[in-house]
Amino acid sequence: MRASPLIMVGVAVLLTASCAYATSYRVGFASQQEGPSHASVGASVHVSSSVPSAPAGSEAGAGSSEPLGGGEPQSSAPKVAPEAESACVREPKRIPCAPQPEAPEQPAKARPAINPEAIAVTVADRLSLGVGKIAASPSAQATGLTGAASWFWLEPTPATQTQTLASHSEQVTVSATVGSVQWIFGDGSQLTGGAGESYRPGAVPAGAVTHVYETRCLPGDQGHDPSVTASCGANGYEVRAAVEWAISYRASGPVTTAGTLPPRATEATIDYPVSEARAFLTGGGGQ
Amino acid sequence: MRRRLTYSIAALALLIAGCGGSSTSTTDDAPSTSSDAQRQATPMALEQAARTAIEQNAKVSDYVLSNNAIPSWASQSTAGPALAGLRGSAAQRKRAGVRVRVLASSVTIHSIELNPSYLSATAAIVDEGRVRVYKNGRPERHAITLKEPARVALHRIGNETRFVVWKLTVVK
Repeated sequence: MRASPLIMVGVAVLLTASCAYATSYRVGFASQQEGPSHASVGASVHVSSSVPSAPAGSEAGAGSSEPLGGGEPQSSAPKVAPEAESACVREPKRIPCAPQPEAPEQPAKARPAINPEAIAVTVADRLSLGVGKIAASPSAQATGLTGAASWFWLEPTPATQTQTLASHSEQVTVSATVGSVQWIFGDGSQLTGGAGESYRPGAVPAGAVTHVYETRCLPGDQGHDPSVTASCGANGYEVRAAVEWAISYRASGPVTTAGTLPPRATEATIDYPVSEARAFLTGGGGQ
Repeated sequence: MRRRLTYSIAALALLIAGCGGSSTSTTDDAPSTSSDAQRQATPMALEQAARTAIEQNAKVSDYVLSNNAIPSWASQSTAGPALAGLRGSAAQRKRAGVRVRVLASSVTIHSIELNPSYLSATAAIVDEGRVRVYKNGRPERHAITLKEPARVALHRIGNETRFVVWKLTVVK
């Protein structure tokens, strides 16, 4: 009698364990590949813009009306054509299908519409609009000095980036050019200018980005030194350079057109500590 | 009598050698890629590239199922959520002490649709086969027959006439 509850508990534990065990792995060919909906891997291609109707005169005007959607439609069931010409069965296991012979080009019915702007959006997304790092003089290691101009510049200097994609005789070139750089110095002041110029003694060049800090901000100052400003961070002022890129595209081929895309902004930041030099009057000078 | 015995031994040796020969044709060889930057990216060539990616992805899937590990050549045909899913499933099986022996597998491609941008494609496929599951080294009594219709999203690699399987959704 006493043993039966123990046995029941044991069975329950075993059942629970086996259920959890059974649901904890996948053994399907395809189902084991169903993963997270988002991945951090690069090379992602998403075309998210809507597609205007194909321009007049486009050779692909009568093509497919499938919307550009990034290629991940999931709600619709697959169109399964039992005797589709393209069906290819890999049988027996691990013997690849013989490559299909190159058939002559089909007329326009099989050719989807070409939309240069949609292609340009995709290409623009692929542009890695790096702005480099913020360099400073005095450097962040040496710390800036209140009352003296600190120079800031982007290294390397961001330059125009161009990428071309050729697809079925349509060639789309996307260019991203540096529009303006907004410098935010962390102490409440900012300016809009260029990428800055590296420090050189003598006259200050027109393109130089300089700033004079008035209040010190060293690591550990915040919370300890009542004279520092509220914007002083744990490791100094946060200096930020936000680069605005103007993006344009040019398409040639069956559809020839040009246009602009929405601008993009990328930015770089550094922590910039600023120290101060105090003068003290000492008595008994010269004696 | 002795001669017959000799012949039998020789035949047996040949058989064993033959079996050994076939079993060494491991699937760990990197599948050839369909990358051909010189070829013009015609819809036909792109569709063929998508087809190749699906077939290579099936090989990757088989390999991962059998080995609970991602082969070095997986990224030639598989990326993004599809690769992450494989990695996660392999890790789960490993943790659970589960090994899978693939007895047979095939992939049927029913349709491939190129996106109008020519930068992505979708395909309808059916993965079929039989597997035997081993838990902690012991085989399950029955082999499992699988038939999984799936929707595949493929992404094109740059300007190349090459695709990778990006996302795979089993159609319930």
